[in-house]
Amino acid sequence: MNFEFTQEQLADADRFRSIVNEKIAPLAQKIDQSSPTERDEIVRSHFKTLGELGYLKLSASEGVGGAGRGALEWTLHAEMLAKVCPSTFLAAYAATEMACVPITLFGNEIQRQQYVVQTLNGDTLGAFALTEPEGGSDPLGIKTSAGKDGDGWVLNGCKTYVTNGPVCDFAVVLAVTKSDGGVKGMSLFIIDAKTAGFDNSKRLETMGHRGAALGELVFKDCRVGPEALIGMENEGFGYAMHALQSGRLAASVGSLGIGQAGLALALPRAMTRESRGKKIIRNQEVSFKLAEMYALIDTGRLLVQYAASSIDTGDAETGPNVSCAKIFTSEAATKISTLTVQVFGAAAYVVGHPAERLYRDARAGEIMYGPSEIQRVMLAQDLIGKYGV
Amino acid sequence: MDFELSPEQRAFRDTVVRFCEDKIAPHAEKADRTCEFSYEAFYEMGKFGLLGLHYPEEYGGQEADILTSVMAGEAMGLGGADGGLLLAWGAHTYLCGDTILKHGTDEQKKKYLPKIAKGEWIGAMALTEPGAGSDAASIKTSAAKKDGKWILNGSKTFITNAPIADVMVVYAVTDASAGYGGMSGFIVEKDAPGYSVGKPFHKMGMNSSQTSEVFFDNCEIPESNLLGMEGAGFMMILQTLEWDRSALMAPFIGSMEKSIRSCTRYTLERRQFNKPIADFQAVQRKLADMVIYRNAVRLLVYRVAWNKDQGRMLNHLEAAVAKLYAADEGFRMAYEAVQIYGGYGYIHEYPVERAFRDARLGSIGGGTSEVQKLIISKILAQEAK
Repeated sequence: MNFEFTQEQLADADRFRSIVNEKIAPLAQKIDQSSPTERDEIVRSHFKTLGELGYLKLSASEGVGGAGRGALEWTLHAEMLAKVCPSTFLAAYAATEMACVPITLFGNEIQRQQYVVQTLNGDTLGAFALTEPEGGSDPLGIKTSAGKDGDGWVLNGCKTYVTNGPVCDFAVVLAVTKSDGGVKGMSLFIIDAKTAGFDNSKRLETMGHRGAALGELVFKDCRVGPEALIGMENEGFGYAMHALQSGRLAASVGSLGIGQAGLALALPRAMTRESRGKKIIRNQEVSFKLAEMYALIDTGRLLVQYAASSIDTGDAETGPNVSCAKIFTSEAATKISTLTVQVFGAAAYVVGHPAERLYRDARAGEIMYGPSEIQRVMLAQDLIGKYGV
Repeated sequence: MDFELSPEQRAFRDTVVRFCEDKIAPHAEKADRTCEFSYEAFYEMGKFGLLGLHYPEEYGGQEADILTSVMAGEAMGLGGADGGLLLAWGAHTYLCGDTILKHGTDEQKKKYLPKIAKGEWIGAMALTEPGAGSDAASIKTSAAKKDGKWILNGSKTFITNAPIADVMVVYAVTDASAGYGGMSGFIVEKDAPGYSVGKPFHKMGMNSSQTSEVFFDNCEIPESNLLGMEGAGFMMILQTLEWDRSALMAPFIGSMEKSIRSCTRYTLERRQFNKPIADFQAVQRKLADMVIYRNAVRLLVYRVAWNKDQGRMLNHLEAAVAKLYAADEGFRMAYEAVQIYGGYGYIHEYPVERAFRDARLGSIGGGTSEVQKLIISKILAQEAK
């Protein structure tokens, strides 16, 4: 057991902190408040910058040009990006930690070179598409189909709430290849955004994370060759679960970053704002809120690191550990952002205030990649399996 | 960074769990009901080595590291499920014994520690007074030197183990004008003239431990019973927090683990509306939360222990968060366990009922949850300056 990163790891993270503070933090409010086109441009340029500096490839394995430093060390960096700009964080990691994951793990060499390597360099942006209008938390209920078409496939259906959907260069898509096959009846495909029959024009404006473009993907007789299939036919569901697990860890880190951003705003405010002749931090109604926020962040970070570490070591408890981290940090972010608004009072109720943005950004955490409700059911089922008679 | 326990650490934890299931758990319910301290179980703990795990061998210990001590506490919470006995264990081994180990002279260590480690003598620590709880620096009990002796006057309250203690570490004011630097620690034996203890309080929980007032009426102790440097008392109290926030919080982890196991089984056995209540999501939510907070508290408490094992000063931020969550969430989970058991959970015979009453002390004893928040917010403000 060891609760510390090495000096080298920490020094690396410090360099990353300076970079995100200098290049990404100043535009966070602008991203939230500008037009879709402007937002997309800024986020895309951030993505490119992160790629050029080598910060998109931390967790990926060396086989795909990654740094092979694992999920745990990745969280150290990622929470810094999430803290300064949740939109950039989400857009970047929906690509690197979700869309690329099944390709890295189960794709062939050509697919890895074409999609993963380019994404990790910041050149292409991927999306991971699972949810459909009628099926979110129930992935077995998806309807999008991929039928055999010569030696290729033809896709029909609709995916929604796809992060990076409207701006993606490629999408990793789960589709039914054997009806009534259940978990063994789905396959995972890489669809190039230029493919005929692929439509990603519908954008959904969101409450928060406004710079991480969310939208629908529509497939109308979308024909792809055999090279689009990831891994084996009818094995896609399991592959997709790997992406989801990685996405849940990323969502936890995102929530952790938002929580930190909240405390970083509220603490100086409480120390400088005067009311009734004293700084408001001198009131326990304020200072105890700050203490609660800190405790949530500190504990949340441990749960995140514990989950990431279990991914790296292949621990049997990885699933439950990731669920614990996601539930705790996402609910913590909601609470912290609410308390942050409270510490600022009316000022934070005004659009354009960073606490107002964080309040909206935070709300995604408890929903995305399996809501808290589903995570809790999974945790309980795991217990029943372990201790049930 | 890694969170793996070694196979030896796991094996040790399992051994302690089995020992406690065998020697402690069978008596826990009766001890709670009769409010009796079990000398027999305590002596068994001594024989097993649990009363001085980290003490040097020459004083009857096993020189275990702090993480091991924490795992022992966790294992005792899980296997023994006797909150009171563990409260007694903490006051005896750490608040009393470890303070003597850290600050005592060779003679003091030789005299007291082997007896404490064996459980032959029972130790206690007296700080809190009727008028001084969270504001520990405001204690009034005084100690003055006279004719080669220390004369103590004043009273203490809520002192764990006081009614049964053979030796007690007592904090008193030696220089009323020196504030934090005017407190000193003393070793008081039960036969000291002018020393007396009150009747055991009838408590809400932790009933297998004995708690009472302590009175010093011109209590005379030898000059050599000063513990540590004169004026260093407050610093010594702060040092005991290292244990208070690690080993003493560890039973909460074990207790949560025990709740998780028994509640999971119960929710599968108990049927309502023609199905096990485990099928209801409102019940599942409680089980899931128990897992989340067990993991959280375990990580927080282990971190305090690990840092201490690296030879570092106590990080008060980390320690305060650990105490806050172990106490508050430990209690909340004990509450949920009662809720899962329903009417049965309200009956004395069911361990969740006792665990619920025991857990309530967490956010009061050893620094309230409010004090933890005070500490956290003060450090945050200092660091931000």
